[in-house]
Amino acid sequence: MKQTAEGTAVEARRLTKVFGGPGSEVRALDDVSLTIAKNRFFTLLGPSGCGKTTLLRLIAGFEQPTEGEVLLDGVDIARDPPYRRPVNTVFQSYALFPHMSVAENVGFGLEMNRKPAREIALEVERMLALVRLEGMGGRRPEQLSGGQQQRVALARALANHPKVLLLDEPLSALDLKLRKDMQIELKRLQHETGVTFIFVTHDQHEALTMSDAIAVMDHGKVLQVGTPAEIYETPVNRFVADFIGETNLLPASLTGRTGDEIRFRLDSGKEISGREHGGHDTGARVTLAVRPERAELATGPGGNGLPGTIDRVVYFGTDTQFRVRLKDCDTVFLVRRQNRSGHEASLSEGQEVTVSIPPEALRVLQD
Amino acid sequence: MAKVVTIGRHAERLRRFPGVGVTTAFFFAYLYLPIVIVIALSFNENRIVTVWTGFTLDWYPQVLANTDLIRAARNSVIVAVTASLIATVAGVTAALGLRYFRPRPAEETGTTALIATPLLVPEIVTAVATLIFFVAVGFRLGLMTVIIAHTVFCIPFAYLPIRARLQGLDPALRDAAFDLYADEWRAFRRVTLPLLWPGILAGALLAFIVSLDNFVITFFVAGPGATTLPVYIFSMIRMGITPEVNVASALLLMVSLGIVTLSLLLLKRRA
Ligand SMILES: Nc1ncnc2c1ncn2[C@@H]1O[C@H](COP(=O)(O)OP(=O)(O)O)[C@@H](O)[C@H]1O
Ligand SMILES: [Mg+2]
Repeated sequence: MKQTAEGTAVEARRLTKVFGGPGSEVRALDDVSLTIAKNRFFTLLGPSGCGKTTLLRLIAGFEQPTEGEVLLDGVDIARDPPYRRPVNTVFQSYALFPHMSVAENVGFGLEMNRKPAREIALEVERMLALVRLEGMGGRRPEQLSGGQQQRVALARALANHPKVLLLDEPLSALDLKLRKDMQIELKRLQHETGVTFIFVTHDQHEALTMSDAIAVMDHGKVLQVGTPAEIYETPVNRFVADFIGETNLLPASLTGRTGDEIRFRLDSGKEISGREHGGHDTGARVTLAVRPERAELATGPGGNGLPGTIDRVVYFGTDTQFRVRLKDCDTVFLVRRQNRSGHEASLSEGQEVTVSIPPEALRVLQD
Repeated sequence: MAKVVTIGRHAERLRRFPGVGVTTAFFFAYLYLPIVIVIALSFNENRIVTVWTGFTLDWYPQVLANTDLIRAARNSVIVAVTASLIATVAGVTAALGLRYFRPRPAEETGTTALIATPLLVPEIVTAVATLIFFVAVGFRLGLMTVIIAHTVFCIPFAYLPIRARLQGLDPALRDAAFDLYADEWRAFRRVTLPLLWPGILAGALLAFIVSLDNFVITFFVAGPGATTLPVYIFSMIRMGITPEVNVASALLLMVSLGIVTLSLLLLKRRA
């Protein structure tokens, strides 16, 4: 059912949004440019207050940009009122109309678009079936559980066949189990309807597992756009590396290169080598990043290794985290290891080990 | 559930506190006994109101046959209905305007304070000022001046409950209406207004009752022929407390109670 129509659904061009007057200015969005392809599950990810909601509200039309353009299907809509934009929103609070039945809620957009009553009734049925709420049309929103209200909000938005569906942290109010179910449900809905989803979350795990593409935001800026794997494996800067998953950050300087081997000296004096230089020259100060699951632990001296002592062992079920205090510098290095049989007993707290880093696991970051 | 249990426990502990029962009884007696006495005495057979001799309904037809009193009651209703209606419309527009068309919340708070301040001005001051104003601009005192004066002092009473209700509404509801293709007017008609309705009813009711029983301002600005019921009752009482005064008071009270009950029923049916 997923259409293969290519092209751009939404484009933000140099979007800036400033709240408040002179003296109390808040730059909620700062010169954001972004292209969102059709039929994607696109996620805006960033810490609270980074401007995610503001960007959604600019696309929906609840706010006017201070500067810049919002293009929908190539047309600038930044000055259109929200009721003229073929875009619908699932609000964080769901915002179901409490004085209307579930069916009236779902049919509201169609009614406003002056569709005939019969058509509305059919579409409402179809939508309630799509979100698995058959037969609930006569209820009031307050008679539904949180998860069901969430589904009504989805049905209400999707009933209008929008070009883009905006979802502002729709899962944050749900408990963990329901949340996992809804994550799968949202993916299914996106797949079945072929509507472009723009999904907001501050949960990096959610973003990684659900998205076709992610934009990482901080302080009103988009720092990086890419697939989950790109964002995770090749973060462009320190913030992205730190925000997405666990990362070990090591301040170092670039000391030289031979062939495709790049050498760095850590502040502890230790030398390690990597494969990339991040565009820096010899002598430059850099930050190195290593994902915990990419490093290995050896009991003897290991290749490309940093000696240290195991500080703490934390068992996580599928894997185990080792906190290693590196020798000669006050840095804790995290290593994660899959819990396969044969591994368990070999390492314990207080033991001297070498953290061995494969050269291709070493990332060079901009600050 | 847990909350209900704790509240229940608190209530239980409070009830056992020595003296609570007596104080509560005294409080309610203080509040309601005078009213009960007035109603009871309106059924008193004896012309001397403080001496109970027996039950009678005779005073009621006698009062209802008093054309002056009936005219005063009619004036009261005309004034209260007109003033509370206008004040409610003003209250709704003020609340909506301040909420949705002011960029800064501080302006809303400031203006609300400004609208509510007349509630703190001693009524006699307002009465004198209003009278001076009408005389200065050359308005002839009559029913119209009463209506104008009542409308003005009713506005904060109508505005405050409406504003409270509006503040309690999730702003996302209005956004949702816009998002679902309702323009300003239809978002108001289909979403904001129905949800605001309890606040509007409460505001209108409060304004109506405040207007219905206003005495001081009315006394100052009512011209000949514009006497309202409270002013009429006051003029009756100058000749001594008669059974007619009690009956008129009891009737006024019943009208107020009737209106409150009616509006509560209306609200309940909507919910
Ligand atoms: N209506 C507003 N008035 C003033 N400041 C606002 C308004 N909306 C958002 N902001 C500010 O803009 C910044 C970004 O907010 P928001 O987009 O809600 O962030 P997020 O959704 O990522 O948590 C925050 O600093 C917030 O305080
Ligand atoms: Mg937000």
